[in-house]
This record gives sequence, C-alpha cells and structure tokens, in this order.
Amino acid sequence: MTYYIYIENDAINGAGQAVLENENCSNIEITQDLFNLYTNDPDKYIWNGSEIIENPDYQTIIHSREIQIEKNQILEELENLDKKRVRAICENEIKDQETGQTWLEFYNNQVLELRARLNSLS
Amino acid sequence: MTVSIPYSLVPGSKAKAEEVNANFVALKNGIETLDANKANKDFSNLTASEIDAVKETIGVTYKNIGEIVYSTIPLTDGGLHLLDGALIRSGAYADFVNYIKNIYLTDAAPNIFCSEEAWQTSVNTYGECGKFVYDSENETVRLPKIDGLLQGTTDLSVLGNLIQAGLPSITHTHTRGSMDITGKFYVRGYKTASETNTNGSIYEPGGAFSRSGNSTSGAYAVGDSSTKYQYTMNFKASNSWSGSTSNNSSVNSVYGNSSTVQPQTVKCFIYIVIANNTKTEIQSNIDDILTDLNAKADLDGTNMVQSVKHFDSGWVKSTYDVASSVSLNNSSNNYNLSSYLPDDNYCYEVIGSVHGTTGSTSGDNADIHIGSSVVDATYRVACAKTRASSSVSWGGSFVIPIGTDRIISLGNYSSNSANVSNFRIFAYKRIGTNQ
Repeated sequence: MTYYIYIENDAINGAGQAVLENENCSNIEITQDLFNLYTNDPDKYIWNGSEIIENPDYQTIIHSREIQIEKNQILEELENLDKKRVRAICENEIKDQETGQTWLEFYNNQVLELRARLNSLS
Repeated sequence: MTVSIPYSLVPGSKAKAEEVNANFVALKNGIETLDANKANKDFSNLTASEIDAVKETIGVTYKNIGEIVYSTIPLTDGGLHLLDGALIRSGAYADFVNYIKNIYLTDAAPNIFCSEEAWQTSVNTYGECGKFVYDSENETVRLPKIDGLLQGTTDLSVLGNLIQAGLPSITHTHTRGSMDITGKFYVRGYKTASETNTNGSIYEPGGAFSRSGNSTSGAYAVGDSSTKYQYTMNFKASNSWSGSTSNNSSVNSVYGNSSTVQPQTVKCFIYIVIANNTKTEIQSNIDDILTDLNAKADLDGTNMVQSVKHFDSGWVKSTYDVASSVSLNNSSNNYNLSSYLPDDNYCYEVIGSVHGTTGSTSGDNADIHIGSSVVDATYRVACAKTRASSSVSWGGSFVIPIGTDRIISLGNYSSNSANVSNFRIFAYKRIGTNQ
C-alpha cells in the first residue's frame, strides 16, 4: 500500500492512498505509520517547503484547542441559562425565602461568573 | 498368427487318441505363444490394416506442439488454433505455453519472439507478423498472424521473419528495330558565266523537312539580280516517323492483375498445434474445477483472500482510504483510483462514504459533491450549514461508476471552508467497458 500527503499552496492539505491529480499539487509518498499519525491529528505536521516535519507550534495549538473547548462549553451553558432566565422572568418566583433572592437573580449571578470566565479565556 | 493342426479328423471315421491329443497340444502351444506375445506387447504379427483399425478405434492423431496444419475446411480440433494472432493463455494449453516459455527462457530461438509493440506495428503495416510474443508476467503467448505464403528456411535466425514483396531491378536495352525517319528536298540553281557565286532555290521539301518563310535580306540572288530569297529549312522527325521500335508480344497478360507479386494460389486455413492431448488436459481442468467447487460447496469462503472476497454479484470488498483531513473551499480534488481498481479497460462501480465538518465560523457551509467521468457531472452527497460559531458535522454515502481514467472527484461547491475527515471506498464491482 502506498500513502501520500498532498501539498497544495505550499502547505499540507490532506493525505490518502489515491494520487491527487489537481494541477499545482504534489503527492509526497509517506509510510502507513505517518499516514495514521497525520490523519489522527493533522495539526501535528507541517510542510517546511522541502519535507514534512513535526509542527513546532503544536503545543500552542493543543493549548488553543483546550481553550476553545472550554469556551464552547461556557457558551453552551450560557445558552441553557438564557432559557432558564426567560422562564424565571415569566414565572417570577422567589428562590430563597430567607434572602428574598429570585430565580432570575440566581441565574444572573451564574451568567456573570461564566461571562467573566469567558472573557478571561479571550 | 496361424495355428497348424497336425491331424485332420474325418466325420464318420474313428479318431485315434494320439491324433486327438496331438491336435490339442498344437492348439495349446499356439495359445501360449499368443499369450506370450500379448504380455510383451509384441504386435508385430498384426497386419497394416489391423494396425489402422486399432488407430481408428482409439482415435490416435498425434501431432507435435507447434506443427503447422493446412486445411481447406474449418477444423474443430481443440488442439489446433488458427494463426490469427490470438492470445493463448495457460490452463488447457499449458503444454503449448510452457513449450514456448522454455524456448524463450533458454534463448533457444530468440528470433522467433518480438515485443507486443513490434508485433502490432508489423500487423498494422503489413497485415501479418510471423513472430510470437511471450508475456512472462501473465503467462500468455500471442500467436503469429499469417494469411500469406510461407517459405522454407534452414536458418534458425530468420524464423518468422517477414520478407516483403519485391522484384529485381529492371534493365532494358532498346534497338532501333524497323523505325526509320526519312526526308528530302531539292536545291535548284544556276550559275551565269559572269557571276562568281552559284544561285539557287529550295524546292519540294518533304518527309521530315519543311520550308517556311522567305526573306530578301542578305540572301543570294535567285534568277536575275532584282529578286533575292532566303528560306528557313525545318526538320521535324514526327513528320516522317514510321515503323515500330520493338515487339511487345513478350508482355505477360497477368501484368496489372495484382498490386504486388502474387502467384496463383488457393486460400486455406493455417493452423498451429497448441495441444496434442487436449482431451486429457481439459478433463484434468474439469477435475480441478470440480475439486475447487466441492471445496466451496458449503459457501464458507473463509479460505478466500481479501482481494477476491466477492459478497454479492461481483462486488469485491476492499477498503481504501482515498483521502483524509482535506480542506475544501469552493474547490474540487481529482483522485486517481488506479492503485485500487484492477488494471484493465473496464469501468467499475464503487461504494463509498465521505464525512467531515463545516468551518467553525457562523454561516459556514459545506456543499459536498462526488463525480466521475462516467456520470460526466457531480452530484451532492452531503450538505450542512452552521448557525453558530462552531463546526457542524456532515456526511453521506454513494455508489458511483468510475471510468477507465479511474478518476473520482470530491468537491465543496459552497464559498465556505469545509473539512473532509474521511473519504473512503469499501467495495468495487466491474460494470463494463463503455463509458
């Protein structure tokens, strides 16, 4: 089995067993191991103009991904809180009789915390 | 074999015991001699007609592999093949292929072979080729293609050589024969006593000669001194050419009957012997096939290798990663499946799937199409669009015919980025030769 990494516009754009026949594209023959590593995480390798090397910025990319994952989780929680806050406005009930805190205030506090965390990630 | 009985017993007469015994002994000896001959396969006592009868009974028509057989009627013998340039495969004709292979490998007669390209060129140029083509990879032999005359030789190095039609150069000596060109004219004149020069005129030119024009300028006087003429005398051979230059009775009536040298012939088929015990070989193959079928009778198929694992009407299961981790943005990629599909001139259908994600910008759109030269277009297999700032997954499967160019195209026809995680094919099936 022969495997290739495709070079397009001086950068890697995919890998496979078929030869890519587009103009201005190159097919760099690679091992099956490298094919598996690349397809498992394409950001791990780059084309330096003459060969395929490990991406020196790979750790930065990993960190960015983790941040992005956390951002997406926060955004998802905010989406859920928005629904809860709409319900809280409509029903306008007291959550804590002792403090007099409403459900809307309770959710608003959570939103503020999440937004602060989101801003810190940006 | 004749057994002689010593005594002839006459009906009605009393037989003597010793005569009867002598007859039985003679008969016994004859039988024992016959048995001994049979045990030693000594058929020398068989007559020619008996031998022919035996041959006819057992159907002996032995011929050597490679022998040429001419026939003015079509022959149906499985051991014969027309010299028509056909490709002979091994199997039933293993003896023939192996015979040719042995000549090829031992270099015993290298000049009887040529390349496939040279063979085709010869047939295209001259209509025939006397050489064999041996394909060691596929174990095939291409026969010579001969529909002309065959010529004998004692030179091994020229076997199968094609000698083009030709004639010796022509030299020709031509004699005048009876041809003649004649002509004459007269010159009439006189000379007076007082004149120094002779005066005269051209008169009655004939044959190849003729007279034209006249002039008084610079001519000698004719008659009296007041009139002067000068004529031009012409010579033209055709005015007098008569007779013949040669005798054409030697020209043969067959000239012009053919565009090349062609003796009178009778057309017939030319066969080559490619098997001399065909029935036995075919029977052996049938036995082999039956053995294979018996082994597959339970339809288990576990002993089949991956490359020949057919699971339905010709579908062959074989997974192939066409491409992975590809980014497409209003663009398409052409992938060549030559390393996946069989190397022949047939078209194939493939079963595959493709999946991935859109870009992560709100509104990013993936509009994924598959195409090939057979469908002469692309068709959509998946489509997805984001509504927020995060990627959306998309995916689709397809069955598509692939042409002999073996190209399959994958495109994203939206103006947004789409990522192809996996583009895979899982099986293929031959569907024909036409696109």
